[in-house]
Amino acid sequence: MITKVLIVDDSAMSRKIIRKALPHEWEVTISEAADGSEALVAYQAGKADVMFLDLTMPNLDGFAVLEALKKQEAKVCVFVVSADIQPKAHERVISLGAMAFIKKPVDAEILKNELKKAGLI
Amino acid sequence: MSDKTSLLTDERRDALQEVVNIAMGQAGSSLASIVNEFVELSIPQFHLARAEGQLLALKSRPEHQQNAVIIRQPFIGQLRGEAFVLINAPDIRYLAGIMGYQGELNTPQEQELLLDIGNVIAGACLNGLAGQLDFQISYAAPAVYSMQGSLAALLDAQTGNWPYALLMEIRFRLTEHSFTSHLIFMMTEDSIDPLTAAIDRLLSELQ
Repeated sequence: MITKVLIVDDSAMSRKIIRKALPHEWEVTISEAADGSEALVAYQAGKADVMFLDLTMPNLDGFAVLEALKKQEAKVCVFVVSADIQPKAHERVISLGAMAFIKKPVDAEILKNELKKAGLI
Repeated sequence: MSDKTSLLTDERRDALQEVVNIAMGQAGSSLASIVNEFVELSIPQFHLARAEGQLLALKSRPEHQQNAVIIRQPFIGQLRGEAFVLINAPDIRYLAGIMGYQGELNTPQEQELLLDIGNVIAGACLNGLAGQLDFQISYAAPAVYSMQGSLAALLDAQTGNWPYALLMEIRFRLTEHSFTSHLIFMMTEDSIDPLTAAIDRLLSELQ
């Protein structure tokens, strides 16, 4: 089955980095969103089985997206990808339902390991 | 002298913004560890411009007329210049309080506190930029300018030495207090080409 991946980040470069870091063998279709509001719209449109989510973004930040997804009991596996490396940020996103926290700059091996741990590849 | 600010195209700007975001994430984490609180980060606003225009705009901001504390951190290497961290005096007093300093600070305490904060903000950001862009830089001794010092005079004295300024505005929010710090990297003209070349290398790796 092809997995629908949504990459959410306000930086075009960061979205490209995540795209490039995804394992080649993973069969995916990729959509992108440039902020939290776009992410929720894309999720509602059925574009996300898996979401890579930045935290610090304009309009609606990553924490607010996680809260909204939790509230609606969304069936999406969220990996937070962020430069905010404070342990409390990490704890907070996990408590809001994120599967894992991946720090920027993204390391392709770490990302692959997190996908394996989640049973996605 | 040619104006190199036009080298910052939209694509390079987006890339530099992301590099700055990651560097500021490291600065936020270091700040959180010294104040022992969660630090909510905003998206850093930044501009690369000729120094005199940038500093004119900064000096006109009312909060920096009389009240700014300035920490100066020179750096040398493939990028060469000076970093200035500007924080308002009331914010310094707040940070001193949550870091456990009681009452009025004496001069050595104030120097120590300011050097710590300056090192956290400027050092983490410079290290983050240098690490991601693969530059080697090193640091000379930092200095603190007193709250009574004139921001205008200090910054005016720099524009001759360092014609370009990367001005960053960073808002940190703590549990009960938010504050804005300005971080200015004053750079030599010959630092701009390596900076844009490093951004281009990052971008080309993504093609």
